[in-house]
Amino acid sequence: MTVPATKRAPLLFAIAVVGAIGAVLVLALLRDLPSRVENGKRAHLAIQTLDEVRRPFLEIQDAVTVLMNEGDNESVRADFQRAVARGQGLIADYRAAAAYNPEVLRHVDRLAVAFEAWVEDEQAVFDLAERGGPGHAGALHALEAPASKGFSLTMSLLGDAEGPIHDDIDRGSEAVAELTVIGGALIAVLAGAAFLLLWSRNRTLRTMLAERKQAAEEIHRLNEDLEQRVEERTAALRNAQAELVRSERLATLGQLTGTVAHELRNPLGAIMNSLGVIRLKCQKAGVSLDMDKSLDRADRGIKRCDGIITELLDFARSKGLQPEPTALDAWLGELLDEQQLPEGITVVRDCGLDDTVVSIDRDEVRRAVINVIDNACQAITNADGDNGIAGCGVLTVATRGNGERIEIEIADTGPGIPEDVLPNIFEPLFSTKSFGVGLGLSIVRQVMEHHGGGLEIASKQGQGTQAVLWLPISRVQQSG
Amino acid sequence: MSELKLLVVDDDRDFAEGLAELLELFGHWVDVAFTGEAGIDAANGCDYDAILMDISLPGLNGVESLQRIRQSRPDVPCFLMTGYSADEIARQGIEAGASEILTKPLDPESLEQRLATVGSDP
Repeated sequence: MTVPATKRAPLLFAIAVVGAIGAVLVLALLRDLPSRVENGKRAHLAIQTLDEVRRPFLEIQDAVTVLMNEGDNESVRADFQRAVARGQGLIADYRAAAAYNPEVLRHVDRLAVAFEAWVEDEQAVFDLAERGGPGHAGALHALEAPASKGFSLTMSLLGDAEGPIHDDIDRGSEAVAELTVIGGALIAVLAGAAFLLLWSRNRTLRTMLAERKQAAEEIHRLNEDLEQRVEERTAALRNAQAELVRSERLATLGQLTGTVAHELRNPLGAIMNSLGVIRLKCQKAGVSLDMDKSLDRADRGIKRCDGIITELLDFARSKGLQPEPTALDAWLGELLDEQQLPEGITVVRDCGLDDTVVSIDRDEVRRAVINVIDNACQAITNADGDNGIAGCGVLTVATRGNGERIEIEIADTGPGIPEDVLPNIFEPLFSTKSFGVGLGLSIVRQVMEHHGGGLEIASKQGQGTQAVLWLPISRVQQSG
Repeated sequence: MSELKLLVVDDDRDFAEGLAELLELFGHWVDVAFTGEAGIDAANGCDYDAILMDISLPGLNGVESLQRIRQSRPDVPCFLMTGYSADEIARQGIEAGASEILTKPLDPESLEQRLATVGSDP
């Protein structure tokens, strides 16, 4: 099991803090700090007691001085005894206070011994003074001289102990200082740890907030995505429905036009045959009834009817594509060769695809190309001459690769399409011609769209028209 | 142009008779049948130079009739005629051995040109 990073951080901090505290404690114990502090305290007490001990010593010495100067009396004797008792008591206290340090204790012991000896000598002085008698003053001075040395010794011994005690006090102070530093460090560590813990928690919270925000954004994005997909699906469904309705309508139209076309073409055929018969019979009979114009009109009428039927059949036809690999330039060249274009039209070929082979339904694309060429030729031949010589012009057929497209451009130098007409040219049944059903460009676009491509028309009045029939590059077949 | 012995098969009498008359004026000898069955009988009974047959016929259609005729006359040129644009049936017609699919109405001059190629074949 893995602990998430956000929960792992406080755990690590806790371990670090415990470790730090442990290390500090171990360090403190190794340095013997507590006992040094304790000794320091005791030394402090000891030095206070030592100062106090000095007072009864001086009182004893004072009493002795009074005795020596003023002679024996009750009062001085009492002072002496009280001072001795206090000295003994304080030495006992001093001893207790010094018990912490054997070295100091040894000093105290030596002090106690010296004190007792000194006091004993001074007691002898007092006893002698009390007894009195002749010549005692001389004896008293003789006795006092060595006794007073005891005072000096005792005071000196008292002073000797001060050094080690002060050392202990100093060590205690150092220990307190060290402990203060350690304590400070510990507090710093704890504060740092607490800060880190809080920071970590804060960071965890921030991370959680960020994650929550991110999740909210993700949900928002997914919602938008979903809405968009619903919209797209709805649009696709609507398109599919429209396409279905359209294809059903086309299927019905196809059946209808198929039947109507066949039914119409038979009588048209009969009329055509009969016109042919009339024409031939007149020729054979050698009679000139001046009927040629009439017969030509009838012929043209039949051909126009036939053209309309062809257009309707082509548009309604719903066969699937039957693509074949086709070297577009060569195929287009042959197609152009087959066309019998009206006089006055110069054809310029600008094919730049070399041997590029594309997968196309040749019949369909042929239909589309011929349709556009017919339009171009009509545009040129019907021109009134504003843009050059009436009925004369250039038809340019070019092919090229253009990014993701393979393009066939058919351009004419006709009068161009008026601006108000341009948006309507792809609408089925729209036509500006005085004849035809207006399906031409709809068919061309349909054919190109069936191939995954399209039809684009650019035109400006007075500058001709450029029609681009394009195929997606995916229709290009790799040779070899 | 040499005279050809032709058979026209079409159930549309006006069309068939008008076409026959036109072809006769071009100088050919023409028989007419109005059903597929009659066409097959005629083809079996006479060695025609070419047959012009409508695809949409009652009973046996033009393609089926052509298939029957091919059994006894494997080489006779046969033009199938249709009021539809080139469609699936027309493709079947080519597979059945039709020389060409002609779309009605037929242009007399181009029809005569096509027949001329038949006449010039050995």
